[in-house]
Amino acid sequence: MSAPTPDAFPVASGQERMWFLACLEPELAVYNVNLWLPLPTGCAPEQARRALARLVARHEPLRTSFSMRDGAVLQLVHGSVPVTVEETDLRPLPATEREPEFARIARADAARPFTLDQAPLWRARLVRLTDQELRLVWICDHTVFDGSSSDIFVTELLECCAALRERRAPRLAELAIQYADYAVWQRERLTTQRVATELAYWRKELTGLPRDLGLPTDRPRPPVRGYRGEVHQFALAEELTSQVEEQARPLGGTSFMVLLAGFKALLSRWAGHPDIFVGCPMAGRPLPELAPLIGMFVNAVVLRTDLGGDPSFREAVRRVRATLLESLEHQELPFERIVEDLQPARDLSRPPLYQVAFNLVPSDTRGQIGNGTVKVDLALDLNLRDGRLHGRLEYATDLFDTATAERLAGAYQILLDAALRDPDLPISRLPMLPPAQRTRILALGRGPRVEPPSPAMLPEQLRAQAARTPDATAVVSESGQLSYRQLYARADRLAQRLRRLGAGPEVPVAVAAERSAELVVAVVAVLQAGAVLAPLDPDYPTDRLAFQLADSGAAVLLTQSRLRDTLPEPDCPVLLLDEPDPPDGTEVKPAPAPRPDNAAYLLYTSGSTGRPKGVLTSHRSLANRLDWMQRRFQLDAGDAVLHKTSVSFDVSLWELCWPLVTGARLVLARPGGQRDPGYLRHAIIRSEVTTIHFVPSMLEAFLAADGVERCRSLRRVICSGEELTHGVADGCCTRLPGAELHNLYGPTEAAIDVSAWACRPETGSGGVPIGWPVHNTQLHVLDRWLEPVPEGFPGELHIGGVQLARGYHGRPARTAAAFVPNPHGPPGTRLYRTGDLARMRPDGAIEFLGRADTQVKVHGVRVELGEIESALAEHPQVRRAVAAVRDDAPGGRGPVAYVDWAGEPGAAPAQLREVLARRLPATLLPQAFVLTGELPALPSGKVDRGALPSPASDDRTQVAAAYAPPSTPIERELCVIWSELLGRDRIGVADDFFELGGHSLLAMQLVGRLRERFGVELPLRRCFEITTIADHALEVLGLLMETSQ
Amino acid sequence: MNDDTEHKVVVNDEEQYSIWPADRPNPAGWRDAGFTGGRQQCLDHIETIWTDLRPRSLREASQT
Repeated sequence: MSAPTPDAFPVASGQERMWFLACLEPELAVYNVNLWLPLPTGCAPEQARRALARLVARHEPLRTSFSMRDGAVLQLVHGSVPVTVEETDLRPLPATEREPEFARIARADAARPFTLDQAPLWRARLVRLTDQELRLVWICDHTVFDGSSSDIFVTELLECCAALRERRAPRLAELAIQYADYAVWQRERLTTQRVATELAYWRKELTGLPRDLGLPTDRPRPPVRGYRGEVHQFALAEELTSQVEEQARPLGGTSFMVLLAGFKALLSRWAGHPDIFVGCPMAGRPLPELAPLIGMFVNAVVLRTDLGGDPSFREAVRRVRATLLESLEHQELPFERIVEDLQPARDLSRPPLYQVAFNLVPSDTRGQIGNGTVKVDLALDLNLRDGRLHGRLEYATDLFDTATAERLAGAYQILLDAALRDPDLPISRLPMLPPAQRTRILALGRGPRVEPPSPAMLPEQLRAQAARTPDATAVVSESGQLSYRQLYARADRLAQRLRRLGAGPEVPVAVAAERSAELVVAVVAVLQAGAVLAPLDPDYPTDRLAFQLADSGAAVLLTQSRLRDTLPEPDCPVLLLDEPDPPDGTEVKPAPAPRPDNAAYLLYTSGSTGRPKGVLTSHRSLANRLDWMQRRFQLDAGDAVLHKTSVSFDVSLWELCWPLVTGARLVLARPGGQRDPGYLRHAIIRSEVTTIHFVPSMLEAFLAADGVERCRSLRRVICSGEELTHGVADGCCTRLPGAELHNLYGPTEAAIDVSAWACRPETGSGGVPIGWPVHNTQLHVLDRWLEPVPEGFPGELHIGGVQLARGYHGRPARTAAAFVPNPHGPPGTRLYRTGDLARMRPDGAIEFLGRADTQVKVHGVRVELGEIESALAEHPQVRRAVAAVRDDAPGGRGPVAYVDWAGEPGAAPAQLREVLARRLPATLLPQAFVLTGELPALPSGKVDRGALPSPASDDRTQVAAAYAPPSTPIERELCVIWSELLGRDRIGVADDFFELGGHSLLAMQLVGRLRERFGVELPLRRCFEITTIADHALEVLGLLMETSQ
Repeated sequence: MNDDTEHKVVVNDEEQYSIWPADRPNPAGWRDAGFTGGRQQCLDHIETIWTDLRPRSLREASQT
């Protein structure tokens, strides 16, 4: 007997959306609606089955399947479907194992997707836990069921059970229409005119909508969403719950608006910007006749609120109210119409239009079964029951840790509570941390308190080491070696001369010398004279040197005769380091030991704007930093430190001074050698260097050269100065297995470095943490009111403690602006505002997020340049690469890759794009590749990002191709298919499907045409990954070859 | 700290100057220096009154 032909109807818009999403992810049960309910005591399984059969007969969607015909999706309503109910008896299990087993069974049922062309699109299971307790697990596809359907289903099922038990007819409301009637009605209602009007509203409302809300994630977003998710449940206190209800009216809103305003305020603080958009499901049942129907009615609207200007919570509620009321007016336009209009080229890495959802649901959320999937990144459902608001926070586990979801839920309650207590506080001042957690976070930011090993400052420590090991080798340079005794014999004579010229405490002495033994003598002499070391890099431009010399007020300039003519004429005496010492002059008093607060050195920071500022750092600060380094790394006589950093950077101070206070050897790289990986490798091997510093981009270049493995003497590699990526760190751990790698962080304003992280061999993307504070130092991630932010939230990094510089030389206002009162430290202390964005991990380690003033974002998506760079570096032909966000990129502001490319230039863009597409979300793919040869570098070895050429001006730039005609038979056939689908002529093989007007339904049709014409099955998802005929032709060819094998 | 919020000039025992929002209590160890205004006005004021950036204890010890 063949089944009667089912009736075919058009689908409603919501069904079409769900059907499309199911086709996109056929293996995943993301769009199952899953629930369980306890059946009344005494209800027999057969009764339950009959009750269910009754509902299946009553509601057509429970007998519906789907089919695609002539480019349109149809719903097929079957006259009858088998009512199959699985049965499981858990009574044989020990009582304690039944609940876990029930949860496992329910989850397994919920995790199986449906095949949409086979009715029914539900499955049911009766589970017997005890003689009294019987439960129904009900899993239904979202194409035929929604949240309100759940309530109807539960109510009607229980009524049918009761009717069967009481041997009476069930009391169920008459259904005036069926779902298919609604689908037809909706189609007629959504006239072209109406859609156009509504679209006009949403286009305006969502103008410039960022592609991502920009929440900081615990892990980088994968290029393709995994839909994996979990749920965190929590409940608002009774008092807070009643506050929400009582305060709503005085605030001019409803509970929903108050709860949403609180959530948006939290998201705004978390994302660090005011443009906050969340999705909210709308019941979508505009007619009373629709109320009792089971089916897919729900529609999503995007609620976008501008929380700019730091409004009060009262004002935030007002803005949310305005958004909501207006959006409600336009809620009927199906969500997918807006998606197709605004973002047709689906980004497979994130949900379209919104990533965070919010809802206040009327029905009890307890019966929902998590199946390990999520539809969006984060979804908060609130449900009022038993006098408390119960929260159900779903989070994508690809992005967020459980602990993050828990913290977010906690922060929500604290913030909401404070907002309701004082609705006139600006939202930036609302607390997000419970007091105990606030205390804990502040404590996590405090480094260990350590007493200095001796009261001696650096000059005394240097002298003491020379006295301990006078005959040991102190300095190794290209021109020979100096013992400690020889070094101090020269330095002491020079110190005497400096003293005679007036050098002493608080008096700067400028040193401009090439890297040489003379430089070391000069540095030691200035310190022995008790003066302030003011090093100048002779490679700097003359104007800059002239400024620094004048600004420092140096009493003496120490230099070399060969540099004399290249340096500006100073207003002070000049001593030449390479001339023989004059006969001893009058004996002067040796320098007094410097006081801890006396300045040790004066270094100029370039700063992004304005004149360079001289940073004055005290001996106490420097001593703490050197003491930390010695405790941490235990340098001894067997060690050799390579000095290769320009003296204009504070790293050079530890390179120079640390070995000389620990009896190790100080090895000098020849001038310019710091930029030559081959030379550095040679110098390390020859002088058995154990300790070396690199800025990460130079480390990358160093590791890229052959023969690095032979640097077996290296014990430790210290990085600082730039963000260290996992890619470079892993490369270092792999190629130099005998060397530890440490990532240090610190501004000149806080004595070289204030934090450190020991890298372990591990894979990851993005940046390596900058670690924990060094001793006697505090690192706090604070908001703009200097309050600590929760773990994971971005904030500005502030530094406190003994390493803070005294200030900017001769710049009281700049000093006062950057060094602010410390509300979290001992009385009267200061905090240095770094201008760096950071966040704290739950274990207290700090992650660097970039400069506060130059956060790189494109379309609201934070662009992790380091991620692009490490992905580029994976290509074997890439010698070195950097990424930058350029306003002058082809196609508008976006990422551009600069590559030192070893291969055939013509092949670079295609090969690089392919490598990157596998690793990165679409938003991070460079809009152009510029092949540069060697990359421009700064004196420090960092990449000179300011000197990268414009991609627009460069003829080596790969930009979008012009019309390219088809050249193969498959390409020609594809051009015909595309022309028919898109209604266009002259489609080139490089044209983009979505730019030509393609959308998701057309993509479905395209898949069907390819199946008909070539007999191949192109996964729908693939249509969003490859979007040109050229790529499709290759894909089809590949599939054809697979089939023929 | 916003540019448009009112600030005050504050000073600690080492006679180091800085600024602080006018409506918030001073952190421990900081006292008002007797000037309030916009952020930039406060900084401009500091530029004129803070003539010796050395900490007070160092300054005094150096004089003995």
